[in-house]
Amino acid sequence: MALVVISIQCAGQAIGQDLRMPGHGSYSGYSLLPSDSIYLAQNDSGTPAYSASAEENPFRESWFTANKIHGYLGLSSLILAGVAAATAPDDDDGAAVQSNRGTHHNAATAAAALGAASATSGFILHWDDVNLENGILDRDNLHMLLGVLATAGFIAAVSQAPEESHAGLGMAGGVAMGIGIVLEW
Amino acid sequence: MLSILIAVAFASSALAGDLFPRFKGVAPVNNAKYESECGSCHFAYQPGLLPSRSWRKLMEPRELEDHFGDNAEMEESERIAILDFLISHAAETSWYKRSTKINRSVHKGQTPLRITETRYIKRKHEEIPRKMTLDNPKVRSLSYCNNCHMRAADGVYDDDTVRIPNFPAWDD
Repeated sequence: MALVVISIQCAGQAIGQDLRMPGHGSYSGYSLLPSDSIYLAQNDSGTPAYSASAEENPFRESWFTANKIHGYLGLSSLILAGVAAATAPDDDDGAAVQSNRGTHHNAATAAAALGAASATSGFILHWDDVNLENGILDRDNLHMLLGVLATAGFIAAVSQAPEESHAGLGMAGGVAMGIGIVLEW
Repeated sequence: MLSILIAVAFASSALAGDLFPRFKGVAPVNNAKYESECGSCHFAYQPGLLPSRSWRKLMEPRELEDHFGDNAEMEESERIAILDFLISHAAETSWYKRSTKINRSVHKGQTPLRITETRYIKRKHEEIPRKMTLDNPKVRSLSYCNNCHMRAADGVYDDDTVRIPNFPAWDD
């Protein structure tokens, strides 16, 4: 998996470094050095013509950026919290308790772990987006706060299980995570 | 493990906007008249990048006579139609995140005429070295949003879609 990610990133960088001459009628596939590219641009006295370059070298958004991975972690955490809620064992049904407890426990544990990973990556990547001067109702600030509360709720729910109160903590965490994600959608 | 993979697959599809429309940037332009009239000379800036009072000021006939050094006068009916579009989609009317942040960053007494004068846009670009923007012959000004923001036309201005000309190894 790591190799796949690395190879995709390398391919993305290779595309980004393609410095073919934009808008050149007789272009036949040769490449320019970065210094040549700058030299040509400096001789261009008109308005910036990078849009022509973009047409010939269309931008392809990478699926594996740090920002996107942060998003995948948060959404996956929410989905797994939903799975945990949906597979909560019903104490009235003894057979179901045995089969569901594994899924319920595993999904809840994974939701807590992914939530923690998402919160950590969010702090690392977006610390500069959090600005308390904008007030707590600022969308980035609320997103951070709710993400942290959601993760804390998931962790508390897992650690308190099978006490009855753990369900409420898990659900509160799920709601907080859901709202936090919607705010940044 | 399987459920994690399924969750990630679902999350990636959702994040791509395939499943649910996203509201993280600014609302894309959906007005043919605005795109043809204004977009023929410069990037068709989304109305959500400025509050309505800024668009009102910018679209005054006198302002259009000297529109950042160019004459951008137009038929009165077209001016009114475009102004209506700009006002009805201005920053304070939008749920899109960057529009709300831009609007909050402009003091009530201010009427910025340049998007690059708003506090939010200034703050988002202040750490980018001058050599990558103003001194970069393929950028020259922060006004040319789409020179670096590859999905600017879609209203997407996040870090993942930035590619600074002459600086392929740029990183946030």
